[in-house]
Amino acid sequence: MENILPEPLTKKLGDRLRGVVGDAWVIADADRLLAYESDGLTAYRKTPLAVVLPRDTDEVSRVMGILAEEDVPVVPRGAGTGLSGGALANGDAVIVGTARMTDMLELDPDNRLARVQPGMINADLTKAAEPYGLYYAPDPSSQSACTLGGNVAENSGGPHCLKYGVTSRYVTGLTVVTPEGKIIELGGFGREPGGYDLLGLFVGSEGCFGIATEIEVRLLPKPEGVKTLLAIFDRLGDAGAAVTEIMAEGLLPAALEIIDGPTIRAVEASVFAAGFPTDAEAALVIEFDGIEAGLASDVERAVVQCRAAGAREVRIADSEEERLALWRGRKKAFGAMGQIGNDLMVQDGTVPRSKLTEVLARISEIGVRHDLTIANVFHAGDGNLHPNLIFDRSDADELRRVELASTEIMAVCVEAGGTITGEHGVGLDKRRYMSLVHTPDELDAMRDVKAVFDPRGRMNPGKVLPDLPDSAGAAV
Amino acid sequence: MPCVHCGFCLPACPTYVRLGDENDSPRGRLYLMQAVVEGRLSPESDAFQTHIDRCLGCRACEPVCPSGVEYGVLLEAARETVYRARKAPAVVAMLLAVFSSRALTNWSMRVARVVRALGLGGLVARRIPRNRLFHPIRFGLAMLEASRERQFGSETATSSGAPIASDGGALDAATSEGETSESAPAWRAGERGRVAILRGCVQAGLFARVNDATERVLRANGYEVIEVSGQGCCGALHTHAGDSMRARKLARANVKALAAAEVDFVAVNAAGCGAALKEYGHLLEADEEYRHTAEALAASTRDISELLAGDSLRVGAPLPVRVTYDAACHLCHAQGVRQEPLAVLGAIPQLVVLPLQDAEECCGGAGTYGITHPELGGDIGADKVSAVLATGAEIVATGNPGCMMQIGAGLLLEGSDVVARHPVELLDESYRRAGFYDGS
Amino acid sequence: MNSLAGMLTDRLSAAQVVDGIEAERWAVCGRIPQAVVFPESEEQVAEILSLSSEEGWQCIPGGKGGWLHGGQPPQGVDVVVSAERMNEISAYEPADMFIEAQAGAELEVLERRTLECSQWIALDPPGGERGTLGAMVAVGAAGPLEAGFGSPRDQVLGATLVTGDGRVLGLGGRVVKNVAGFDLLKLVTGSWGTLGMITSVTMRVHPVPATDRSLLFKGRDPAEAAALACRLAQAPLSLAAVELLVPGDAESGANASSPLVAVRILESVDGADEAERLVSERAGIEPFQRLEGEQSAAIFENVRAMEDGAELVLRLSLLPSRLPELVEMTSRLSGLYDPTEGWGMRLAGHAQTGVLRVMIAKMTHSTDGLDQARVVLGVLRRSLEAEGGSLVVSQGPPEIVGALGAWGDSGPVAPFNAGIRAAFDPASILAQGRLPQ
Repeated sequence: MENILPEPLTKKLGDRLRGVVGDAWVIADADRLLAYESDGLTAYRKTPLAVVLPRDTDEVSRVMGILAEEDVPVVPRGAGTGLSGGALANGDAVIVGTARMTDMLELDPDNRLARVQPGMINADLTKAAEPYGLYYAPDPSSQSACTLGGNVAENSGGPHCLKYGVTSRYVTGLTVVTPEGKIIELGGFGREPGGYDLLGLFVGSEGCFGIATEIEVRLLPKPEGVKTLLAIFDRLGDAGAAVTEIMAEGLLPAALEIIDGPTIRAVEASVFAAGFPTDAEAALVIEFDGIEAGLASDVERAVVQCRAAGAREVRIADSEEERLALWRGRKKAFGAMGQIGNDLMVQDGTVPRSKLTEVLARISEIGVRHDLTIANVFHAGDGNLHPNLIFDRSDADELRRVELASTEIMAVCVEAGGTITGEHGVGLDKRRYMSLVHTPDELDAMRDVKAVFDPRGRMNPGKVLPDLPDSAGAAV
Repeated sequence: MPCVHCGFCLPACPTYVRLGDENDSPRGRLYLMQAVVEGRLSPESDAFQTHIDRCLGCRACEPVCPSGVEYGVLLEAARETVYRARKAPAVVAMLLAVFSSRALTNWSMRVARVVRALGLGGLVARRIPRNRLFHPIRFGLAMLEASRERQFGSETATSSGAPIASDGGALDAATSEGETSESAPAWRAGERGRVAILRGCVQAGLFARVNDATERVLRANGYEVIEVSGQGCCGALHTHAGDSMRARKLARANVKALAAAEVDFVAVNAAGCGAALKEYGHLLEADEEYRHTAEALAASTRDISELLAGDSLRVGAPLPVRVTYDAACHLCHAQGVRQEPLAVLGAIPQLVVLPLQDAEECCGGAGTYGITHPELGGDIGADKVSAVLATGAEIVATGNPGCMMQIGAGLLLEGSDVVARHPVELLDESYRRAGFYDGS
Repeated sequence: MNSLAGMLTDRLSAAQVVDGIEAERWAVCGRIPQAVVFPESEEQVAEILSLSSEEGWQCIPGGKGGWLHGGQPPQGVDVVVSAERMNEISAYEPADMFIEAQAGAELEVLERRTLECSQWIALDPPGGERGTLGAMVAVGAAGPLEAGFGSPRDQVLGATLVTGDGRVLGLGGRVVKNVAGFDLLKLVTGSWGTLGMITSVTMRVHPVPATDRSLLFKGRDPAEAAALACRLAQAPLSLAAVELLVPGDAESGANASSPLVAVRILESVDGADEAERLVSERAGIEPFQRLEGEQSAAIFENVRAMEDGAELVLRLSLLPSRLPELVEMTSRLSGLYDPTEGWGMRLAGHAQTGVLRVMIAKMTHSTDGLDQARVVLGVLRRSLEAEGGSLVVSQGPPEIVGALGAWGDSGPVAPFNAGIRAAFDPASILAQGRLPQ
């Protein structure tokens, strides 16, 4: 976790970059680079060489061309809400940020298509599409702040992926600037180009292949009706069991989310209090959407399953307001952890959902053994767990225990047939767990594919792939 | 409350949205503050001073923060640090000095009124060339002109025809004419409690009519209004600029004067002052002598709309105007007062409220911001002006004198006839037409 | 037995290798392989591909051979490696909503198994149910349900791939949300065997909807039906499929009818009625037929079989709102076939994705005829590409597909495609030429 402080940006490089984007949009003095030390994961701090904020594809291409000529590594960054340290840059790398690329380029309601700049905020796209009865389906919990470019890089999920799938299903085309500054087009709705699905490969590549500068996405018609239920449990395991039963019943909710006791209490202490009872050990939020007339029977069946699993109370949100309050409570839960402790390590593993109860029990046991508070808030329907490990960075021993517990949690997820990250990405933080889920051959194949796009290894170096065993230096 | 760096505040911040530099976001500024605390950054550094200065103090980040970071409080501490590390720019220093002295305030307001009365403001403002050098004076004169009282346009004042059709997404806040006065309860005088009005400095100097309107509508709604002398500037300007010494001095004077009056409520019609009064407890927390009285005063402080809104609000006579409502930052973000001003407008039959895009975004006024950051403040103000113009409203209602002047000046310089009014002024006009004041 | 087959027999067993006449039915775009080999495990696949890498044999991975005649002709065909004997269902967890099977498992078998638990794989690629799971993923084939559920790329959770040089790679997993590393699985889906042989696949399954209903609307002519299909595709609700169906010029029997639009509704019982109401309202006319359950499924099974017996199959695409233009463009193809031969030309348009499948039963086979076809299709492709669309020749006489290429030029991304291929198949033995450079 050592932070290599940068050598100052050379005047020549600085001038060349300023020549492209303008003086105000190159940040290079050490004091101003502090704010870019961390993204949403504060366990790591790395200071970049400089931050460049271009305005459009052409500027990105020229900036990337200059950085290629000068052989300077590049780290793309959106809003810096990522939770795996993916947007951090070592002292020798320049951050190319998309904060000024926020335009809607085209909205085509007939074809249910939008073309946007990567700095546009996820929620703003839905807001823009709303007048046409459309919306953008992937809804990561940070959607009020995270950018679509970041969503593309991470192949973001969100609560509603259970029914609707992740970002890759909705991205239909990309304009990409390669590490060398070339502009290429991938995909495009309404055509079937031959060759490999480079578009699908690029989505989720965590900024390691290039920078997406224009994003074409598919929009969906807003469901006619939505019904949201809240089931309250005295035991977390019972909520997990309810999830399994609901799915086994053949229901396909739009979302199935669990918020555990400690998280409930954090949320209820925050401005986003949603009315979850603070003495409960789990709240299960279930949402059905689709044609209004068809929802009642689904809701009824879900209620029966919740009761059978031991829910002490099942509420159906009566108003849109109540429904939104439940979701605000759920989506702001990560931020609300600040109510419990100073620092936070949020983990992100996926397990087959039939293993939820078992895995949750093991995570709780890990917490007890390492004397750590672990708060869970997660996409239960997808088996996507988010244990939040609360700590204080000034307590070195606690930090060490957080590391140990994190590693054990990852191992438990993999053993259960799951994986080490469901939606936050590998970034910097999870590289060390990659060998839990991938063989050396698989990791080599990923390295080979990265080298096809980035032969000099300049794009977001030190992310996703673990260092080769024979290379010097620790992984982190 | 610790910031977990989730970034949810970034899109809520007007400066970040326009500049894209994370140093100009709430998270970035908190990070800079933290770096100063950790000793990694000097409070005298240009980075710290520039980016802390560049904050509007609109506190739009607070309602979106899941961790409950009290940004406003931290900002004030940071501003104090900056203030100590460096003297404020000359113009700001002068303003702070003027407003901390009652005599100087009175004198400067008198001068301002004379300039305004001569009608020089609007004339000169429009003729001063548009460039950076002249901007502060040009805009300042326009602000002054915008504070001028204007009669309701004759076309609206005399129109007694059908209500203006609400088009598109317009919220028809008005009730139908039939139920106008019947549903309005006639309060017995003073039965709802004793109220002191914070007269303020700018408000008393340039917006005396708003204070008068406040007094009349409170009386019409059953409050007893007490005149309290010895009160003065609330000190918000000083707190925001980091001059907390003067801020405390002013606060003590107000606490002393208002506490002695033994009122049930202190009514404030300037959002910035209301927020400041509500935070007196915090400002004077280290002051053993004043702490408890300050807390009590803070607890009894209400925005005027909070005292009015509710089932018991009297409905006045029809006022067929198209109004859009701009939510002052220190009302919606700092005080959490959102629905009440709309309820006040809702008590005016035939008044149509047109929704304003980004109504809760700062107008760029932000105290002395327009003077210290003319360009960025200008950009933010220009966006607000275009949003107001896009609504097609004749009046923009907002509950803060700074915002009325900032938006009003922007509209004026755009050559628009749209005027900025306080919601209470509209209610007052409606009451006047209903004859609630006849015979009093 | 030829020497190549002999060497393979030495490594495996005589019962796992065929050549000569028996190999004929495994012809790839008309070219008969020297041997067809039937491995029974991942290890055997790895062994065969490693050997082929050493020997420089051109290998074509396959399932039961259903897709071998389609697509772009490979440069060489020495060995077809069939997954036919690797057809076990290795894991099925209804509660976890996935099914995992070896690549040679027939789609029909998977369908039966999942139906026992009221689940299904929501894909309807052309070619019918006898096709194998591996082949469907390798060609990335999707049908009308793509609009409602996504194509294989969206529904494949994991796969095992044996690379050209015999490395065994596990890609993806069993869970929907999985971002542990680069998504190589996406590359494999639709790779036509050029990156390796898929030996096992994990698919997402869905609960079987309570109601399967198809509404059929008639159009006076193809243009009117296409316009209606577009209008329905823009209806404010999510429909499982909106399909334009134009029967062949000389269609006889059950298929003979006017152009149709088939709307498939997969909903709960009450939801289906409401959806039907919304669709009819949007259509402005009543459906002339309303099919439930198996009958509804059957009409879409017919769509899957529409390519059977076709000599030329094209996929034309533009943005969905331009489907009528695509239909109009098919008039340019009138000189390429004799409408009285077989059933003439059929059209099937996926109105929500903007793909129009064109099937021609029998082309005009004089030398002039094929020359003319090349010219006409080349011009059509260029005009579609200029409009942001594309033309894919998914099946056709080798003279045509060979000359035109199944797909258009890859343009600036060609070096990336080549680099990826080299990473997975360093000896260049896998289906060379099957995909554009």
